[in-house]
Amino acid sequence: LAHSRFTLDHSIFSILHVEVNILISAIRRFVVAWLALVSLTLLSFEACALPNNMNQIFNLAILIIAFFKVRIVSLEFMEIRYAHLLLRVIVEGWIWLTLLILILVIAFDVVLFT
Amino acid sequence: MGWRKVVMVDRRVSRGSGHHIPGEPGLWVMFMGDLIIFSVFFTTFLNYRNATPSLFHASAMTLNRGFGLTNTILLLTSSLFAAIAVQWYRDGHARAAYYLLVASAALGWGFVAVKIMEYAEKLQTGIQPDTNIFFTLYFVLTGMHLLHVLIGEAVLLAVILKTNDKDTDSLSFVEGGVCFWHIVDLLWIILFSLFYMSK
Repeated sequence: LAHSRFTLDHSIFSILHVEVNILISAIRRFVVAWLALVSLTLLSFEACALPNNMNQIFNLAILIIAFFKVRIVSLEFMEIRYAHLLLRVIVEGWIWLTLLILILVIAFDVVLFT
Repeated sequence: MGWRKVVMVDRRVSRGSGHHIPGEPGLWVMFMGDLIIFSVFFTTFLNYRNATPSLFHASAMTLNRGFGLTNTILLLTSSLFAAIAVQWYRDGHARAAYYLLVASAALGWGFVAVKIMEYAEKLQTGIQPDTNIFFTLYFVLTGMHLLHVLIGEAVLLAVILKTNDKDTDSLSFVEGGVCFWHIVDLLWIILFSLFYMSK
């Protein structure tokens, strides 16, 4: 009986150990994602203050960085990375399609209405 | 206790297997509808910017970029706390999740306070929604977003109350509510880049 109890305690301890490791790993991922998001925000903010005469390229770069940040929020914070494949396709589809449309509107100076 | 922990580990295994949907599936229909509407708003903004680039540039220069940056950092940090809160809640640490969600909501109210200061500053200098097309879009789009922040605060309050309820397992509700808060954050990321960062 004593031997069985030791086995049971050991298995619960192993599960707890795995659980703590998974939790720490998830929190570490979130913090790394947040650091990346804040760094990209500050980088874009500082770049905006620099003088340049290539406004269209600058605007495209800022937009692409913004959507990269959106992708980090959705994949990491919203856990779309681990979500059902259909949901991931829908969310990533929205990100890529919206980015593509906005890039085309900027690149080709599209004016549909005024 | 051991059984409860095994169930929690099982939940995470199911999340990692690619079959998990955060929150209720029906909620995502509403989320995606909202995102598509904002895509139309972003395209409309760029359409008008292409039509009158100098007006947009001159108007954007009058915005207080410091307020925009502060609000971005506030929402990103709020999102971080909310994401960690879901992990803690999933792990059975409802109390820790509760405090993190309260901190997340507090940062959200910080966003609202900064936004009100920004609007007040604009109105005091005589800038109104009918000043020009840039400011019409500025007040309408950031106003729509502010409405989302306020709805998100109400949702977060409901989520906070759920995490405080020890008798029910509300993981799906917590995940869905927090996902809406992340959507509020990601919409602001794009608005910030369009209004405050473009040249």
